[in-house]
Amino acid sequence: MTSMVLSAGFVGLVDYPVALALQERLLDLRFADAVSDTLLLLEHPHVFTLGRGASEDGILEVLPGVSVYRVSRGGQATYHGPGQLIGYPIIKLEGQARDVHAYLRSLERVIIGALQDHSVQAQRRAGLTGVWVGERKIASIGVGIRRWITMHGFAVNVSNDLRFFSSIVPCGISGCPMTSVAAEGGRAALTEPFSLTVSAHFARAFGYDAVGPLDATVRRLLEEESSRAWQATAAMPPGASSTRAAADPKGMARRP
Amino acid sequence: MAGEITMPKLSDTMEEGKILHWLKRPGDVVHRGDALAEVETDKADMVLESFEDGVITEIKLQEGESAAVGTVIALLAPVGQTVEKATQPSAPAEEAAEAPLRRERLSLVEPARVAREPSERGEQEAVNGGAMTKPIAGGEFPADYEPEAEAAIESEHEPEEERVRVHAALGARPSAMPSVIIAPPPEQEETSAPKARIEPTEEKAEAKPAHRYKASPLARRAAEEAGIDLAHVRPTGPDGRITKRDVDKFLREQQLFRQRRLVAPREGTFGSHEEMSKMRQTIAQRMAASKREIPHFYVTAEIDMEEAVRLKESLEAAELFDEDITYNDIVVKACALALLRYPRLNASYENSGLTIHPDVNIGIAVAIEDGLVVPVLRECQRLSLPEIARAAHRLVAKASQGGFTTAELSGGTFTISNMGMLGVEHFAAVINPPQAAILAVSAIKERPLVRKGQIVIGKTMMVTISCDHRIVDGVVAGRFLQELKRFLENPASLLLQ
Repeated sequence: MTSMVLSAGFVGLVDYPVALALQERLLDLRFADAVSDTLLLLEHPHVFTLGRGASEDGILEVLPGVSVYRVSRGGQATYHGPGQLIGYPIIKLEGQARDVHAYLRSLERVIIGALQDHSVQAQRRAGLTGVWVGERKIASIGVGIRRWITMHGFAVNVSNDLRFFSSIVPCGISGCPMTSVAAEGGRAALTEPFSLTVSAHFARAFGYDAVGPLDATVRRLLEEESSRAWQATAAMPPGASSTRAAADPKGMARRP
Repeated sequence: MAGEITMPKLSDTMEEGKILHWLKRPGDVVHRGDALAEVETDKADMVLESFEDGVITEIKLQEGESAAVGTVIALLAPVGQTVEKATQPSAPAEEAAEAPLRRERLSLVEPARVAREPSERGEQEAVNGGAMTKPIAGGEFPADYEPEAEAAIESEHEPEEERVRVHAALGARPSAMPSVIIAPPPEQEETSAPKARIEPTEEKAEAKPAHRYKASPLARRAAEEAGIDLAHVRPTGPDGRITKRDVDKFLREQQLFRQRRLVAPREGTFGSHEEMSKMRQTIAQRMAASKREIPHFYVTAEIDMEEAVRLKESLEAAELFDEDITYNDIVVKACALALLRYPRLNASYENSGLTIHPDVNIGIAVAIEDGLVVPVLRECQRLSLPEIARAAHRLVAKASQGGFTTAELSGGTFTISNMGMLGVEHFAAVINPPQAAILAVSAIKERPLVRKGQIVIGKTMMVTISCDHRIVDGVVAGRFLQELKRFLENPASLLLQ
């Protein structure tokens, strides 16, 4: 860890499969030292994901407009959606840092620090990975490590509609109450400003000298993966409804 | 070199770990640095890599099981003892080892993506300058290595159980189905289709670059868009040229293969009781409400599809449109035109009044493993036949990817349920409330029919409309079917508007 600049940036709404493909490509590039340590910050459209081996019963209800993916990670059902800040660090762990649990604890510290800057007092809870405000969960963590490079990461509820969580058993804890920065009366409860706070705390916790903008390579790969996904679903005729149009919580009201 | 593989200590505070997934099985040859298994501790999962070369002889800790750090989880034997020298290049092993890994990452990726993996990998390696691929010692493989590796990939490719049942769509291409009934592809072709897709090893190594295959520009573009290798496509064009039609046929076969396997309804066990999934409960509630509240009546017509079949075939042969037009698309277009003349069938009975909708939004019932979804094609009255095809195929492809947005599933004003692919003679569907009607489309079959006083063999199709008697009477339903029949029997009219 020598000249240490963290390449970080908020890239807005990205489909889950696109973000996953991007992470995988970055992971390979990071391994080859073709990019520097990266912290991708983004939001996902409504999506439920299930870890490998997780029971489908973790999803209590299938909502229109919410995609479901089974992902090769551990863990149970998770929800992601607009208003939730997702952080995917693609960083190389070296020397002392090659400790999986220490990495998880560092991520928790980063989130707790960032929440504090937004006037939310949060804590760890022994034995439960994640970040909590009292009994309520505000951030979830789930990471993957390949060749000592990290992927996946964390999700902080900033201003998202928490009702979606009632359709799953979050992280296998039945009836686990969820909360968000907005629900806790935090300041500037919007994902983009919150992402800046998170980058700063992340850089501090992992010992970077500075936070730089996202590598041009990362932006290019994101474009590539997005257009690839777009082509795969083929062009819609003009005037047809777009996928994004459905990111409207009215879907909740229309529940059968 | 013989050794034990133990549960790694991934953290100072780690006491035990769980095997999420083995990436190798007994008999597999592994090299230093190869991914062996995914191990989970706390909320982190990590790929365990081999520290030496060898052959896995036994797996001692099964998937889903946990063990303390240092516990032996698998046994490794030296390579030389159990294998013979072979002359294969090492590339296949590398591919075989990594392909399932990558493919596994997300189990609901759409077929096009899966198919594209080989080229994508190639790209990545180019970017990395090969830095990520570790040198592999020697060319030593057990004699039976290849078939086993392939079997492993095959089994990785059976994700039905793993699929999230509720959303993974299975009726992936309803529109392509009637063609099956007319000309079922030989069994052999069908089984060869998936192989073509997942055979990344040998064939790829000696595959000619894409430009070495003779193909029409349209075919080339279609292959590129779908991410398939022209090497897999059987040419039927003049001089062994690959046409767009060949590419489409190849894609259809793959889809069909998926469908054949996926559309199988969830199996039950005799003498068991199951909780109903949310989707099943929703279907139960809505269908019961429909039958309880809506006074259904049914009207059937037989439609001569000879001309429609010809139209479809000639459009395919001419390669006029990017998207192949399917029978389902043709029926959707004809329905949209017929509905424009009978707006009362594009209506809802709501609050004791009748709402006639401004747009014709046609829902297409798509079977999925434990139920069905009805994605909606909006404003069909404005769409040309190719536009309908494009939009419908996109929705159906999406079904296989496993997820619709609210907008895509709501706002339907009329529904089409197509069971042509199942070869059914005739059926009637239950109205999807609050719509006024649903059209049940059966298989196109060769039947004797009378044309100009002569008995001839023709291709006909039965359609049955189920209507809400509160909204319309038999005469409207009958006229609608007459209109539909007129369009389908004179399908050129479908291209004009």
